[in-house]
Amino acid sequence: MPESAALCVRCGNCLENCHIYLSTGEWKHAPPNRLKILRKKADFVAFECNGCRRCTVFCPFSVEVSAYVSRARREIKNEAKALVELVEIQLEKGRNFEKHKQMYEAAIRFLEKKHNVKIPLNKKAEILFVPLQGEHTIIPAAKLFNLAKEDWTLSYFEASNFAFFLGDMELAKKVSERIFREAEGLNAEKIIVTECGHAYRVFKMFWREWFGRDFEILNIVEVAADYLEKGIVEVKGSLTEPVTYHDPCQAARNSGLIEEPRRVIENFSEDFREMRPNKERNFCCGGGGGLVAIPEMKDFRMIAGKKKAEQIKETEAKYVLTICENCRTQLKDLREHYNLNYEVSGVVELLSKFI
Amino acid sequence: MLQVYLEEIVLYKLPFVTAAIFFVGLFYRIYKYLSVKLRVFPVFPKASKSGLEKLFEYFSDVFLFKTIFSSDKFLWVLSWLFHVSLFVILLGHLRMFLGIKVDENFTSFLGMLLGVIFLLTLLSLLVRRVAKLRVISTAEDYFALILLLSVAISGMYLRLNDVSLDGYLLSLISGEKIVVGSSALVVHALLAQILVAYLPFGKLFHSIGVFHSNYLVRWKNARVRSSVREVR
Repeated sequence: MPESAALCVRCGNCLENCHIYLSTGEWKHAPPNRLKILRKKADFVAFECNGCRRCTVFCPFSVEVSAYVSRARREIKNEAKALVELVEIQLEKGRNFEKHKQMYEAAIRFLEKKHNVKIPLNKKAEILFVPLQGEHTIIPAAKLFNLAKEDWTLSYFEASNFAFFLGDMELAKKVSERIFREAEGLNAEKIIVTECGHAYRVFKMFWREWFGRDFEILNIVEVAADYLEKGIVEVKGSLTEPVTYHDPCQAARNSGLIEEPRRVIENFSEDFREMRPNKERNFCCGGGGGLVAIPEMKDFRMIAGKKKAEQIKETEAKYVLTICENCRTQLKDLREHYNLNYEVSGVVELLSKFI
Repeated sequence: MLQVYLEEIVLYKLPFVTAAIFFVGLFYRIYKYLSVKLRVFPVFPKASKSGLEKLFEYFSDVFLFKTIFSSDKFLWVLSWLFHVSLFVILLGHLRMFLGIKVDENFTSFLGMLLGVIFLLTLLSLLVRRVAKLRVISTAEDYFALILLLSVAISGMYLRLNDVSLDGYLLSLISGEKIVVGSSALVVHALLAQILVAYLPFGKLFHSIGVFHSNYLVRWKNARVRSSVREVR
Protein backbone atom coordinates (compact mmCIF):
# COMPACT_ATOMS: atom_id res chain seq x y z
CA MET A 1 0.00 0.00 0.00
CA PRO A 2 1.40 3.40 -0.88
CA GLU A 3 1.33 6.48 1.28
CA SER A 4 -2.45 6.55 1.54
CA ALA A 5 -2.40 9.07 4.39
CA ALA A 6 -1.25 11.65 1.85
CA LEU A 7 -4.74 11.53 0.37
CA CYS A 8 -6.50 12.59 3.55
CA VAL A 9 -8.31 15.86 2.83
CA ARG A 10 -9.70 16.14 6.37
CA CYS A 11 -13.28 16.03 5.12
CA GLY A 12 -14.41 14.95 8.57
CA ASN A 13 -16.41 11.95 7.42
CA CYS A 14 -14.56 9.74 9.88
CA LEU A 15 -15.03 11.96 12.93
CA GLU A 16 -18.52 10.79 13.87
CA ASN A 17 -17.58 7.25 12.98
CA CYS A 18 -14.68 6.78 15.37
CA HIS A 19 -15.96 5.50 18.72
CA ILE A 20 -12.83 6.71 20.50
CA TYR A 21 -13.06 10.27 19.22
CA LEU A 22 -16.80 10.24 19.96
CA SER A 23 -16.24 9.33 23.58
CA THR A 24 -13.05 11.23 24.42
CA GLY A 25 -13.39 14.24 22.13
CA GLU A 26 -9.64 14.66 22.37
CA TRP A 27 -7.63 16.29 19.59
CA LYS A 28 -5.23 13.38 19.18
CA HIS A 29 -7.99 10.80 18.85
CA ALA A 30 -9.57 12.29 15.73
CA PRO A 31 -8.44 9.90 12.97
CA PRO A 32 -6.87 12.61 10.74
CA ASN A 33 -4.85 13.88 13.70
CA ARG A 34 -3.88 10.35 14.67
CA LEU A 35 -2.52 9.98 11.14
CA LYS A 36 -0.68 13.27 11.37
CA ILE A 37 1.04 12.16 14.57
CA LEU A 38 1.84 8.60 13.47
CA ARG A 39 3.21 9.60 10.08
CA LYS A 40 5.90 11.59 11.85
CA LYS A 41 6.76 9.44 14.86
CA ALA A 42 5.68 6.37 16.77
CA ASP A 43 3.58 7.78 19.57
CA PHE A 44 1.68 6.05 22.36
CA VAL A 45 -1.52 7.20 20.66
CA ALA A 46 -1.04 4.04 18.57
CA PHE A 47 -2.06 2.04 21.62
CA GLU A 48 -5.07 4.27 22.13
CA CYS A 49 -6.68 2.87 19.00
CA ASN A 50 -8.57 -0.39 18.67
CA GLY A 51 -7.53 -0.88 15.06
CA CYS A 52 -11.15 -1.60 14.27
CA ARG A 53 -10.84 0.00 10.79
CA ARG A 54 -14.23 1.61 10.98
CA CYS A 55 -12.76 4.96 9.89
CA THR A 56 -11.29 3.26 6.82
CA VAL A 57 -14.74 2.02 5.84
CA PHE A 58 -16.10 5.55 5.93
CA CYS A 59 -13.09 7.19 4.29
CA PRO A 60 -13.60 8.25 0.65
CA PHE A 61 -9.96 7.29 0.03
CA SER A 62 -9.96 4.26 2.33
CA VAL A 63 -6.95 5.62 4.19
CA GLU A 64 -5.62 2.67 6.18
CA VAL A 65 -5.16 4.22 9.62
CA SER A 66 -4.52 0.79 11.12
CA ALA A 67 -1.43 0.34 8.93
CA TYR A 68 0.11 3.43 10.53
CA VAL A 69 -1.01 2.24 13.95
CA SER A 70 0.66 -1.15 13.36
CA ARG A 71 3.88 0.43 12.16
CA ALA A 72 4.04 2.69 15.20
CA ARG A 73 3.20 -0.14 17.60
CA ARG A 74 6.03 -2.26 16.27
CA GLU A 75 8.47 0.55 16.93
CA ILE A 76 7.37 1.20 20.51
CA LYS A 77 6.20 -2.26 21.46
CA ASN A 78 8.01 -2.15 24.78
CA GLU A 79 5.50 0.41 25.98
CA ALA A 80 3.00 -2.45 26.06
CA LYS A 81 4.97 -4.77 28.33
CA ALA A 82 2.03 -7.06 29.00
CA LEU A 83 1.69 -7.92 25.31
CA VAL A 84 5.42 -8.50 24.86
CA GLU A 85 5.41 -10.89 27.82
CA LEU A 86 2.40 -12.77 26.47
CA VAL A 87 4.17 -13.25 23.13
CA GLU A 88 7.20 -14.58 24.99
CA ILE A 89 5.00 -17.09 26.86
CA GLN A 90 3.45 -18.20 23.57
CA LEU A 91 6.83 -18.74 21.92
CA GLU A 92 8.17 -20.50 25.01
CA LYS A 93 5.42 -23.12 24.70
CA GLY A 94 6.77 -23.93 21.26
CA ARG A 95 10.39 -24.09 22.40
CA ASN A 96 9.76 -26.15 25.53
CA PHE A 97 7.09 -28.27 23.94
CA GLU A 98 7.59 -31.49 25.96
CA LYS A 99 7.08 -29.75 29.27
CA HIS A 100 4.04 -27.84 27.99
CA LYS A 101 2.63 -31.04 26.48
CA GLN A 102 2.54 -32.92 29.78
CA MET A 103 0.79 -30.15 31.64
CA TYR A 104 -1.67 -29.58 28.83
CA GLU A 105 -2.59 -33.24 28.50
CA ALA A 106 -3.24 -33.49 32.21
CA ALA A 107 -5.52 -30.48 32.06
CA ILE A 108 -7.46 -31.84 29.09
CA ARG A 109 -7.92 -35.27 30.71
CA PHE A 110 -9.31 -33.48 33.75
CA LEU A 111 -11.77 -31.59 31.53
CA GLU A 112 -12.81 -34.81 29.83
CA LYS A 113 -13.75 -36.35 33.18
CA LYS A 114 -15.41 -33.22 34.50
CA HIS A 115 -17.73 -32.76 31.51
CA ASN A 116 -17.87 -36.34 30.34
CA VAL A 117 -16.87 -35.53 26.76
CA LYS A 118 -14.23 -37.17 24.65
CA ILE A 119 -11.46 -34.80 23.58
CA PRO A 120 -8.96 -36.37 21.18
CA LEU A 121 -5.39 -35.14 21.48
CA ASN A 122 -2.31 -35.79 19.40
CA LYS A 123 -4.21 -37.83 16.84
CA LYS A 124 -3.92 -37.71 13.06
CA ALA A 125 -7.25 -36.22 12.00
CA GLU A 126 -9.02 -34.30 9.30
CA ILE A 127 -9.89 -31.39 11.57
CA LEU A 128 -7.54 -29.51 13.86
CA PHE A 129 -9.52 -27.48 16.36
CA VAL A 130 -7.63 -24.52 17.83
CA PRO A 131 -9.12 -23.31 21.13
CA LEU A 132 -8.25 -20.57 23.58
CA GLN A 133 -7.31 -20.96 27.22
CA GLY A 134 -10.47 -21.68 29.15
CA GLU A 135 -12.88 -24.58 28.99
CA HIS A 136 -15.73 -22.49 27.57
CA THR A 137 -13.84 -22.47 24.28
CA ILE A 138 -13.23 -26.23 24.28
CA ILE A 139 -16.24 -28.05 25.71
CA PRO A 140 -19.05 -26.65 23.49
CA ALA A 141 -16.98 -27.32 20.37
CA ALA A 142 -16.09 -30.83 21.54
CA LYS A 143 -19.78 -31.58 22.05
CA LEU A 144 -20.60 -30.38 18.54
CA PHE A 145 -17.81 -32.36 16.90
CA ASN A 146 -18.70 -35.53 18.77
CA LEU A 147 -22.37 -35.17 17.86
CA ALA A 148 -21.43 -34.81 14.20
CA LYS A 149 -18.99 -37.74 14.57
CA GLU A 150 -16.17 -35.67 13.09
CA ASP A 151 -12.62 -36.88 12.78
CA TRP A 152 -11.04 -34.15 14.88
CA THR A 153 -8.27 -33.39 17.30
CA LEU A 154 -7.49 -30.58 19.71
CA SER A 155 -4.51 -28.29 19.17
CA TYR A 156 -1.84 -27.99 21.85
CA PHE A 157 -1.70 -24.26 21.28
CA GLU A 158 -4.13 -21.42 21.80
CA ALA A 159 -5.43 -19.59 18.75
CA SER A 160 -4.65 -16.07 19.94
CA ASN A 161 -1.70 -14.25 18.47
CA PHE A 162 -0.52 -11.43 20.69
CA ALA A 163 2.29 -10.44 18.34
CA PHE A 164 -0.38 -9.41 15.84
CA PHE A 165 -1.49 -6.73 18.31
CA LEU A 166 2.07 -5.42 18.41
CA GLY A 167 1.98 -4.86 14.65
CA ASP A 168 5.01 -7.12 14.36
CA MET A 169 4.14 -9.43 11.48
CA GLU A 170 7.43 -11.32 11.57
CA LEU A 171 6.82 -12.21 15.18
CA ALA A 172 3.16 -12.96 14.50
CA LYS A 173 4.26 -15.41 11.84
CA LYS A 174 6.54 -17.14 14.33
CA VAL A 175 3.67 -17.50 16.80
CA SER A 176 1.44 -18.93 14.08
CA GLU A 177 4.15 -21.22 12.82
CA ARG A 178 3.80 -23.46 15.90
CA ILE A 179 0.25 -24.27 14.89
CA PHE A 180 1.16 -24.56 11.23
CA ARG A 181 3.77 -27.22 11.98
CA GLU A 182 1.34 -29.03 14.25
CA ALA A 183 -1.33 -29.04 11.52
CA GLU A 184 1.13 -30.38 8.97
CA GLY A 185 2.34 -33.04 11.38
CA LEU A 186 -1.21 -34.24 11.99
CA ASN A 187 -2.11 -34.21 8.28
CA ALA A 188 -5.02 -31.90 9.04
CA GLU A 189 -7.00 -30.47 6.14
CA LYS A 190 -9.34 -28.15 7.96
CA ILE A 191 -8.42 -25.80 10.72
CA ILE A 192 -11.33 -24.75 12.85
CA VAL A 193 -10.77 -21.74 15.04
CA THR A 194 -12.68 -21.10 18.21
CA GLU A 195 -14.64 -17.91 18.89
CA CYS A 196 -11.85 -15.39 18.69
CA GLY A 197 -11.88 -12.39 16.39
CA HIS A 198 -8.25 -11.57 15.72
CA ALA A 199 -7.18 -15.22 15.68
CA TYR A 200 -9.73 -15.98 13.00
CA ARG A 201 -8.49 -13.03 10.97
CA VAL A 202 -4.87 -14.12 11.29
CA PHE A 203 -5.68 -17.66 10.19
CA LYS A 204 -7.97 -16.68 7.39
CA MET A 205 -6.37 -13.56 5.99
CA PHE A 206 -2.66 -14.09 6.62
CA TRP A 207 -1.82 -17.79 6.70
CA ARG A 208 -1.93 -18.32 2.98
CA GLU A 209 0.48 -15.48 2.39
CA TRP A 210 2.80 -16.57 5.21
CA PHE A 211 2.95 -20.31 4.67
CA GLY A 212 1.85 -20.69 1.06
CA ARG A 213 -0.56 -23.48 1.83
CA ASP A 214 -4.31 -23.57 1.62
CA PHE A 215 -5.83 -25.06 4.71
CA GLU A 216 -9.56 -24.78 4.86
CA ILE A 217 -9.99 -22.21 7.62
CA LEU A 218 -13.32 -22.14 9.43
CA ASN A 219 -14.68 -20.58 12.54
CA ILE A 220 -16.59 -22.80 14.96
CA VAL A 221 -19.66 -20.61 14.33
CA GLU A 222 -19.56 -21.40 10.63
CA VAL A 223 -19.36 -25.07 11.49
CA ALA A 224 -22.27 -24.79 13.91
CA ALA A 225 -24.38 -22.98 11.31
CA ASP A 226 -23.60 -25.74 8.86
CA TYR A 227 -24.55 -28.51 11.33
CA LEU A 228 -27.83 -26.79 12.14
CA GLU A 229 -28.70 -26.37 8.50
CA LYS A 230 -27.99 -30.00 7.72
CA GLY A 231 -29.89 -31.19 10.77
CA ILE A 232 -26.82 -32.83 12.30
CA VAL A 233 -27.43 -30.84 15.44
CA GLU A 234 -30.91 -30.16 16.69
CA VAL A 235 -31.95 -27.43 19.05
CA LYS A 236 -34.18 -28.28 21.98
CA GLY A 237 -36.02 -25.42 23.61
CA SER A 238 -35.41 -21.74 23.08
CA LEU A 239 -34.57 -18.47 24.75
CA THR A 240 -37.45 -16.04 25.19
CA GLU A 241 -35.43 -13.16 26.60
CA PRO A 242 -34.18 -10.47 24.19
CA VAL A 243 -30.83 -11.32 22.62
CA THR A 244 -28.46 -9.08 20.72
CA TYR A 245 -25.29 -9.85 18.82
CA HIS A 246 -22.11 -7.79 18.85
CA ASP A 247 -20.09 -8.07 15.63
CA PRO A 248 -16.41 -8.22 16.55
CA CYS A 249 -14.49 -5.93 14.20
CA GLN A 250 -11.89 -8.53 13.39
CA ALA A 251 -14.43 -11.22 12.57
CA ALA A 252 -17.07 -9.14 10.76
CA ARG A 253 -15.53 -6.08 9.17
CA ASN A 254 -12.06 -7.52 8.72
CA SER A 255 -12.71 -11.17 7.90
CA GLY A 256 -16.26 -11.21 6.53
CA LEU A 257 -17.87 -13.45 9.14
CA ILE A 258 -21.27 -11.78 9.38
CA GLU A 259 -24.31 -13.92 8.58
CA GLU A 260 -23.30 -17.26 10.12
CA PRO A 261 -23.51 -16.21 13.79
CA ARG A 262 -26.95 -14.70 13.14
CA ARG A 263 -28.14 -17.91 11.55
CA VAL A 264 -27.04 -19.84 14.64
CA ILE A 265 -28.66 -17.40 17.05
CA GLU A 266 -31.98 -17.50 15.23
CA ASN A 267 -32.14 -21.22 15.93
CA PHE A 268 -32.46 -20.79 19.67
CA SER A 269 -33.60 -17.22 20.19
CA GLU A 270 -37.18 -16.02 19.85
CA ASP A 271 -36.39 -12.37 20.34
CA PHE A 272 -33.27 -11.42 18.42
CA ARG A 273 -32.54 -7.70 18.22
CA GLU A 274 -29.93 -6.02 16.04
CA MET A 275 -27.81 -3.16 17.31
CA ARG A 276 -27.72 -0.07 15.12
CA PRO A 277 -25.44 0.20 13.22
CA ASN A 278 -24.45 -3.43 12.81
CA LYS A 279 -22.58 -5.98 10.69
CA GLU A 280 -19.50 -4.56 8.96
CA ARG A 281 -20.45 -1.08 10.18
CA ASN A 282 -20.72 -2.08 13.81
CA PHE A 283 -18.99 0.02 16.44
CA CYS A 284 -16.01 -1.55 18.18
CA CYS A 285 -16.54 -2.52 21.83
CA GLY A 286 -13.47 -0.50 22.80
CA GLY A 287 -11.41 -3.49 23.90
CA GLY A 288 -9.99 -4.50 20.52
CA GLY A 289 -6.43 -4.27 19.31
CA GLY A 290 -5.13 -6.11 22.37
CA LEU A 291 -6.14 -3.38 24.81
CA VAL A 292 -7.93 -5.96 26.95
CA ALA A 293 -4.60 -7.65 27.57
CA ILE A 294 -2.86 -4.48 28.76
CA PRO A 295 -3.85 -3.86 32.40
CA GLU A 296 -2.94 -0.14 32.36
CA MET A 297 -5.46 0.45 29.59
CA LYS A 298 -8.50 -0.50 31.65
CA ASP A 299 -9.65 3.08 32.30
CA PHE A 300 -9.16 4.04 28.68
CA ARG A 301 -11.11 0.97 27.56
CA MET A 302 -14.06 1.96 29.69
CA ILE A 303 -14.19 5.41 28.10
CA ALA A 304 -13.72 3.97 24.61
CA GLY A 305 -16.62 1.58 25.16
CA LYS A 306 -19.17 4.30 25.87
CA LYS A 307 -20.70 4.07 22.40
CA LYS A 308 -21.04 0.30 22.69
CA ALA A 309 -22.69 0.58 26.10
CA GLU A 310 -25.24 3.01 24.63
CA GLN A 311 -25.92 0.68 21.72
CA ILE A 312 -26.53 -2.27 24.00
CA LYS A 313 -28.76 -0.23 26.29
CA GLU A 314 -30.92 0.76 23.33
CA THR A 315 -31.66 -2.85 22.43
CA GLU A 316 -32.68 -3.65 26.04
CA ALA A 317 -31.21 -7.09 25.47
CA LYS A 318 -30.68 -9.48 28.36
CA TYR A 319 -28.11 -11.52 26.45
CA VAL A 320 -25.24 -9.99 24.52
CA LEU A 321 -23.62 -12.61 22.34
CA THR A 322 -20.36 -12.30 20.49
CA ILE A 323 -17.68 -14.50 18.98
CA CYS A 324 -14.57 -12.84 20.33
CA GLU A 325 -12.75 -13.35 23.61
CA ASN A 326 -11.53 -9.75 23.69
CA CYS A 327 -15.04 -8.43 23.19
CA ARG A 328 -16.40 -10.75 25.89
CA THR A 329 -14.05 -9.42 28.51
CA GLN A 330 -14.72 -5.86 27.45
CA LEU A 331 -18.52 -6.35 27.38
CA LYS A 332 -18.42 -7.76 30.90
CA ASP A 333 -16.30 -4.86 32.12
CA LEU A 334 -18.63 -2.37 30.42
CA ARG A 335 -21.59 -3.94 32.19
CA GLU A 336 -20.03 -3.20 35.58
CA HIS A 337 -18.75 0.22 34.60
CA TYR A 338 -22.01 1.50 33.10
CA ASN A 339 -24.32 -0.36 35.51
CA LEU A 340 -26.03 -2.35 32.79
CA ASN A 341 -27.78 -5.64 33.20
CA TYR A 342 -27.07 -8.37 30.69
CA GLU A 343 -25.41 -11.73 30.30
CA VAL A 344 -22.39 -12.09 28.04
CA SER A 345 -21.85 -15.34 26.21
CA GLY A 346 -20.32 -16.86 23.14
CA VAL A 347 -22.70 -17.93 20.38
CA VAL A 348 -21.64 -21.57 20.28
CA GLU A 349 -21.32 -21.67 24.04
CA LEU A 350 -24.97 -20.67 24.42
CA LEU A 351 -26.01 -22.98 21.59
CA SER A 352 -24.43 -25.92 23.42
CA LYS A 353 -26.90 -25.41 26.27
CA PHE A 354 -29.79 -26.13 23.90
CA ILE A 355 -28.55 -29.36 22.35
CA MET B 1 4.02 50.42 -19.76
CA LEU B 2 4.25 48.38 -16.59
CA GLN B 3 0.85 46.86 -17.26
CA VAL B 4 1.86 45.72 -20.72
CA TYR B 5 5.00 44.23 -19.28
CA LEU B 6 3.05 42.39 -16.51
CA GLU B 7 0.52 41.11 -19.03
CA GLU B 8 3.28 39.73 -21.19
CA ILE B 9 4.85 37.91 -18.23
CA VAL B 10 1.70 36.52 -16.63
CA LEU B 11 -0.09 35.61 -19.83
CA TYR B 12 2.70 34.42 -22.10
CA LYS B 13 5.80 33.60 -20.04
CA LEU B 14 4.51 32.24 -16.75
CA PRO B 15 2.22 29.54 -18.24
CA PHE B 16 5.29 27.60 -19.39
CA VAL B 17 6.83 27.76 -15.95
CA THR B 18 3.50 26.71 -14.43
CA ALA B 19 3.14 23.80 -16.82
CA ALA B 20 6.70 22.67 -16.07
CA ILE B 21 6.13 22.84 -12.30
CA PHE B 22 2.84 20.99 -12.69
CA PHE B 23 4.17 18.06 -14.70
CA VAL B 24 7.49 17.67 -12.93
CA GLY B 25 5.72 18.07 -9.58
CA LEU B 26 3.11 15.52 -10.51
CA PHE B 27 5.68 12.91 -11.49
CA TYR B 28 7.66 13.56 -8.34
CA ARG B 29 4.54 13.34 -6.18
CA ILE B 30 3.26 10.15 -7.75
CA TYR B 31 6.70 8.60 -7.37
CA LYS B 32 6.80 9.60 -3.71
CA TYR B 33 3.26 8.39 -3.13
CA LEU B 34 3.98 4.97 -4.59
CA SER B 35 7.40 4.51 -3.02
CA VAL B 36 6.25 4.55 0.62
CA LYS B 37 5.57 0.94 1.47
CA LEU B 38 3.27 -0.05 4.27
CA ARG B 39 1.91 -3.48 4.95
CA VAL B 40 -1.00 -4.34 2.69
CA PHE B 41 -3.98 -5.60 4.60
CA PRO B 42 -6.60 -7.60 2.77
CA VAL B 43 -9.37 -5.07 2.57
CA PHE B 44 -13.03 -5.62 3.35
CA PRO B 45 -13.52 -9.28 2.57
CA LYS B 46 -17.23 -8.79 2.20
CA ALA B 47 -16.57 -7.16 -1.14
CA SER B 48 -15.73 -10.39 -2.96
CA LYS B 49 -17.68 -9.92 -6.15
CA SER B 50 -17.73 -10.41 -9.88
CA GLY B 51 -15.73 -8.18 -12.22
CA LEU B 52 -18.74 -6.15 -13.33
CA GLU B 53 -19.84 -5.48 -9.77
CA LYS B 54 -16.33 -4.43 -8.85
CA LEU B 55 -16.25 -2.05 -11.80
CA PHE B 56 -19.56 -0.59 -10.69
CA GLU B 57 -18.32 -0.20 -7.11
CA TYR B 58 -15.17 1.48 -8.33
CA PHE B 59 -16.94 4.04 -10.47
CA SER B 60 -19.73 4.71 -8.01
CA ASP B 61 -17.13 5.52 -5.41
CA VAL B 62 -14.84 7.61 -7.59
CA PHE B 63 -17.57 9.54 -9.42
CA LEU B 64 -20.64 9.35 -7.19
CA PHE B 65 -18.93 9.50 -3.77
CA LYS B 66 -20.84 6.50 -2.46
CA THR B 67 -18.81 6.31 0.74
CA ILE B 68 -19.77 9.83 1.76
CA PHE B 69 -23.36 9.24 0.67
CA SER B 70 -23.62 6.29 3.01
CA SER B 71 -22.75 8.29 6.10
CA ASP B 72 -23.37 12.02 5.62
CA LYS B 73 -26.02 13.12 3.11
CA PHE B 74 -25.44 16.83 3.67
CA LEU B 75 -21.72 16.55 3.05
CA TRP B 76 -22.47 14.41 0.02
CA VAL B 77 -24.69 17.06 -1.60
CA LEU B 78 -22.08 19.74 -0.95
CA SER B 79 -19.03 17.83 -2.06
CA TRP B 80 -20.64 16.18 -5.06
CA LEU B 81 -22.06 19.42 -6.49
CA PHE B 82 -18.75 21.11 -5.71
CA HIS B 83 -16.67 18.58 -7.59
CA VAL B 84 -19.04 18.14 -10.52
CA SER B 85 -19.40 21.88 -11.13
CA LEU B 86 -15.62 22.28 -10.91
CA PHE B 87 -15.14 19.42 -13.35
CA VAL B 88 -17.54 20.83 -15.94
CA ILE B 89 -16.05 24.32 -15.56
CA LEU B 90 -12.61 22.81 -16.27
CA LEU B 91 -14.06 21.08 -19.34
CA GLY B 92 -15.31 24.49 -20.46
CA HIS B 93 -11.79 25.86 -20.20
CA LEU B 94 -10.41 22.90 -22.11
CA ARG B 95 -12.92 23.63 -24.88
CA MET B 96 -11.53 27.15 -25.17
CA PHE B 97 -7.96 25.86 -25.34
CA LEU B 98 -8.90 23.62 -28.21
CA GLY B 99 -10.97 26.33 -29.90
CA ILE B 100 -14.16 24.29 -30.09
CA LYS B 101 -17.10 26.56 -30.83
CA VAL B 102 -20.31 26.05 -28.86
CA ASP B 103 -23.48 28.17 -28.89
CA GLU B 104 -22.71 31.27 -26.83
CA ASN B 105 -26.10 31.48 -25.11
CA PHE B 106 -25.64 27.94 -23.92
CA THR B 107 -22.11 28.43 -22.59
CA SER B 108 -22.95 31.65 -20.81
CA PHE B 109 -26.02 30.09 -19.18
CA LEU B 110 -24.18 26.93 -18.13
CA GLY B 111 -21.10 28.86 -17.05
CA MET B 112 -23.17 31.18 -14.91
CA LEU B 113 -25.16 28.36 -13.32
CA LEU B 114 -22.13 26.23 -12.55
CA GLY B 115 -20.17 29.23 -11.35
CA VAL B 116 -22.89 30.05 -8.84
CA ILE B 117 -23.18 26.42 -7.69
CA PHE B 118 -19.41 26.18 -7.34
CA LEU B 119 -19.14 29.40 -5.36
CA LEU B 120 -22.01 28.52 -3.05
CA THR B 121 -20.82 24.98 -2.30
CA LEU B 122 -17.27 26.24 -1.85
CA LEU B 123 -18.44 28.82 0.66
CA SER B 124 -20.53 26.21 2.49
CA LEU B 125 -17.53 23.90 2.70
CA LEU B 126 -15.49 26.73 4.14
CA VAL B 127 -18.19 27.54 6.69
CA ARG B 128 -18.51 23.86 7.55
CA ARG B 129 -14.78 23.62 8.11
CA VAL B 130 -14.69 26.64 10.38
CA ALA B 131 -17.82 25.66 12.29
CA LYS B 132 -17.43 21.90 12.63
CA LEU B 133 -13.97 20.73 11.66
CA ARG B 134 -11.63 23.15 13.35
CA VAL B 135 -10.21 20.31 15.43
CA ILE B 136 -8.79 18.51 12.39
CA SER B 137 -8.22 21.43 10.00
CA THR B 138 -4.74 22.59 9.09
CA ALA B 139 -3.52 25.85 7.58
CA GLU B 140 -3.30 24.11 4.24
CA ASP B 141 -7.00 23.25 4.29
CA TYR B 142 -7.88 26.92 4.59
CA PHE B 143 -5.24 27.92 2.03
CA ALA B 144 -6.65 25.54 -0.57
CA LEU B 145 -10.22 26.71 0.00
CA ILE B 146 -9.31 30.39 -0.12
CA LEU B 147 -7.18 29.93 -3.24
CA LEU B 148 -10.09 28.17 -4.96
CA LEU B 149 -12.40 30.90 -3.76
CA SER B 150 -10.20 33.64 -5.21
CA VAL B 151 -9.97 31.84 -8.56
CA ALA B 152 -13.73 31.37 -8.58
CA ILE B 153 -14.51 34.98 -7.72
CA SER B 154 -12.15 36.37 -10.34
CA GLY B 155 -13.61 33.94 -12.87
CA MET B 156 -17.15 34.98 -11.99
CA TYR B 157 -16.12 38.60 -12.41
CA LEU B 158 -15.03 37.83 -15.99
CA ARG B 159 -18.27 36.01 -16.66
CA LEU B 160 -20.41 38.86 -15.29
CA ASN B 161 -18.53 41.48 -17.32
CA ASP B 162 -18.61 39.39 -20.48
CA VAL B 163 -14.83 39.20 -20.75
CA SER B 164 -14.14 36.26 -23.01
CA LEU B 165 -11.24 33.89 -22.40
CA ASP B 166 -11.58 32.17 -25.78
CA GLY B 167 -9.07 34.28 -27.69
CA TYR B 168 -6.40 34.19 -25.01
CA LEU B 169 -6.54 30.44 -24.28
CA LEU B 170 -6.52 29.63 -27.98
CA SER B 171 -3.53 31.91 -28.51
CA LEU B 172 -1.57 29.94 -25.91
CA ILE B 173 -1.80 26.88 -28.13
CA SER B 174 -1.51 28.58 -31.50
CA GLY B 175 1.33 30.88 -30.40
CA GLU B 176 -0.17 34.03 -31.93
CA LYS B 177 -0.21 36.54 -29.10
CA ILE B 178 -3.21 38.82 -28.72
CA VAL B 179 -3.89 41.96 -26.67
CA VAL B 180 -6.47 41.07 -24.02
CA GLY B 181 -6.93 44.55 -22.55
CA SER B 182 -8.43 43.38 -19.25
CA SER B 183 -6.60 43.43 -15.98
CA ALA B 184 -9.27 41.20 -14.42
CA LEU B 185 -8.29 38.51 -16.88
CA VAL B 186 -4.66 38.87 -15.89
CA VAL B 187 -5.58 38.47 -12.23
CA HIS B 188 -7.68 35.38 -12.97
CA ALA B 189 -4.88 33.89 -15.06
CA LEU B 190 -2.34 34.49 -12.31
CA LEU B 191 -4.50 32.96 -9.56
CA ALA B 192 -5.39 29.98 -11.74
CA GLN B 193 -1.72 29.34 -12.43
CA ILE B 194 -0.90 29.39 -8.74
CA LEU B 195 -3.64 26.79 -8.29
CA VAL B 196 -2.30 24.57 -11.07
CA ALA B 197 1.27 24.78 -9.82
CA TYR B 198 0.18 23.98 -6.27
CA LEU B 199 -2.00 20.99 -7.17
CA PRO B 200 0.64 18.23 -7.17
CA PHE B 201 2.16 19.25 -3.85
CA GLY B 202 -0.69 19.59 -1.39
CA LYS B 203 -3.98 18.02 -0.50
CA LEU B 204 -5.39 18.66 -3.98
CA PHE B 205 -3.35 15.63 -5.01
CA HIS B 206 -6.34 13.60 -3.87
CA SER B 207 -7.90 14.34 -7.27
CA ILE B 208 -5.27 12.05 -8.78
CA GLY B 209 -4.78 9.64 -5.88
CA VAL B 210 -8.46 8.78 -5.56
CA PHE B 211 -8.26 6.69 -8.71
CA HIS B 212 -5.47 4.60 -7.27
CA SER B 213 -6.73 4.24 -3.71
CA ASN B 214 -10.10 3.08 -4.96
CA TYR B 215 -8.45 0.76 -7.41
CA LEU B 216 -6.66 -0.89 -4.49
CA VAL B 217 -9.72 -1.17 -2.29
CA ARG B 218 -12.63 -1.77 -4.65
CA TRP B 219 -10.73 -3.66 -7.29
CA LYS B 220 -7.42 -5.27 -6.45
CA ASN B 221 -8.18 -6.29 -2.89
CA ALA B 222 -11.93 -6.64 -3.27
CA ARG B 223 -11.57 -10.38 -3.14
CA VAL B 224 -10.32 -12.98 -0.74
CA ARG B 225 -9.11 -15.95 -2.66
CA SER B 226 -8.08 -17.49 0.63
CA SER B 227 -11.71 -17.41 1.65
CA VAL B 228 -13.03 -20.87 2.14
CA ARG B 229 -16.48 -19.80 1.14
CA GLU B 230 -15.26 -19.28 -2.39
CA VAL B 231 -13.46 -22.60 -2.50
CA ARG B 232 -16.37 -24.54 -1.16
